[in-house]
Amino acid sequence: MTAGAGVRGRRKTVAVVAALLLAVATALLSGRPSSAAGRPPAAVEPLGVPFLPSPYPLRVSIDSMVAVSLTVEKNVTVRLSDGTTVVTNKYTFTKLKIRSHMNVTQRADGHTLVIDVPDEGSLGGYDSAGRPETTMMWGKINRVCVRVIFQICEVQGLLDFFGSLIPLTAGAEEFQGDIYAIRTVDDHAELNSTDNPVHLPGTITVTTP
Amino acid sequence: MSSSAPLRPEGRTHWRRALAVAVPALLAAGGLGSAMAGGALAVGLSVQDRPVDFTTSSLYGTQYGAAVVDQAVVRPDGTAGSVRVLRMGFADGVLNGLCLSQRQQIAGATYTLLLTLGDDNPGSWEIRTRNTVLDLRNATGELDMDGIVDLNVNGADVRTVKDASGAYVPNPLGAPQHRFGIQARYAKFDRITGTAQDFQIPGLLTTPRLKLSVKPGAVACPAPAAPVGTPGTP
Repeated sequence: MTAGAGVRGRRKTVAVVAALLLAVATALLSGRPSSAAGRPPAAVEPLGVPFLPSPYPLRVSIDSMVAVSLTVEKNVTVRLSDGTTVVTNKYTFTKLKIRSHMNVTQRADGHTLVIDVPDEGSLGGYDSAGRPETTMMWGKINRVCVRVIFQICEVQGLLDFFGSLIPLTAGAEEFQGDIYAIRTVDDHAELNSTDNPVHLPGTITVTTP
Repeated sequence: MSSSAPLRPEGRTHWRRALAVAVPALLAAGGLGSAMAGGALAVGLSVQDRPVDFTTSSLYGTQYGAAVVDQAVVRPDGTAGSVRVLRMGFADGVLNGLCLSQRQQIAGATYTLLLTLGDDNPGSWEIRTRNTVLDLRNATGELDMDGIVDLNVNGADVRTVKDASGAYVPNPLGAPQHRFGIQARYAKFDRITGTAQDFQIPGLLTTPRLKLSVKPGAVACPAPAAPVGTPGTP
């Protein structure tokens, strides 16, 4: 080995060790408290929804779903976090289960968030004692199909018109809606309970353009 | 003119150089690992500045919140920028094993820093944490939430941790206004494989069986085992 090669080798060794030590030290920094920006709470108060939803709605699509019942409350005024209001619908499901593929996408200014559940899941469901959970959605269902011997689509207008209690025990398909807010309620949730009303086996992704 | 030295084929292993590189690095890693396992550094865990791949058999916690936030990054060309990530926060939590994997390019070669925490028992949530924060780019697994679960909450309104007086800290995730947020009383994420831009566990209360190693090449964390049973109270 020449003297030049030896110097280069030593330099490379020093560089590699220094870089690795830096990497290890970075990985093992002592505890830093989570960021608490301490911003003041939003000045506007919730209206129509128990919380202030983001002004960017969620595009929710479900290929196949089933629920014990669905009620529709029309012309609900909802205040969004930017202070604006929208007049929309409130849908209340009981035991809402996803039979196949749910996709929730939010396209906001600066990012796209996707929650994708390829197979079964739940957005409410029920606990092990069979007690139903409720799921509320504030927004507009753009399309939903029901199957009574054969598939009937675009029935969301009928849902909105009749409004009251509609059984979806036979299932619904091709659900698509623009939803501002979703709340699921498990009144009997407990520590150690794994009967979770929101069960989403899938992928969550945030992408920046 | 021909050289008197014989031609050496490229691609052969330079054992002396390799040992000169690997031994100090492993000693450094081992030293830090044993110090951390011994309690000297066992106060927290923080991985920042560049993405880290991770897996866990299960993460279960209370007072769960998430929001889309901006995370500062250094681009490959060295300039500063930011990306949007889903920042998840747990006030109290338990982990069923954790593996972090981060690749480093050093002098043209790829090395992987592997850090694992926990035992190999899928029935124990052996790592207790407090104020855990993960900045996710993506994650795949089973995402379960319980209690009252709200989706698309204004991110700045999400609540997770409390201050000394017992009041919720306002905007603990540091989210800008009008971003997507999630709020849930309980959350349990099983068999998670993901990439985090930032990983903070400042309150690492127990750290059984910590292992730290530097491996040549690109090495991924093993696929997480399915958890068995239910977690204890965080």
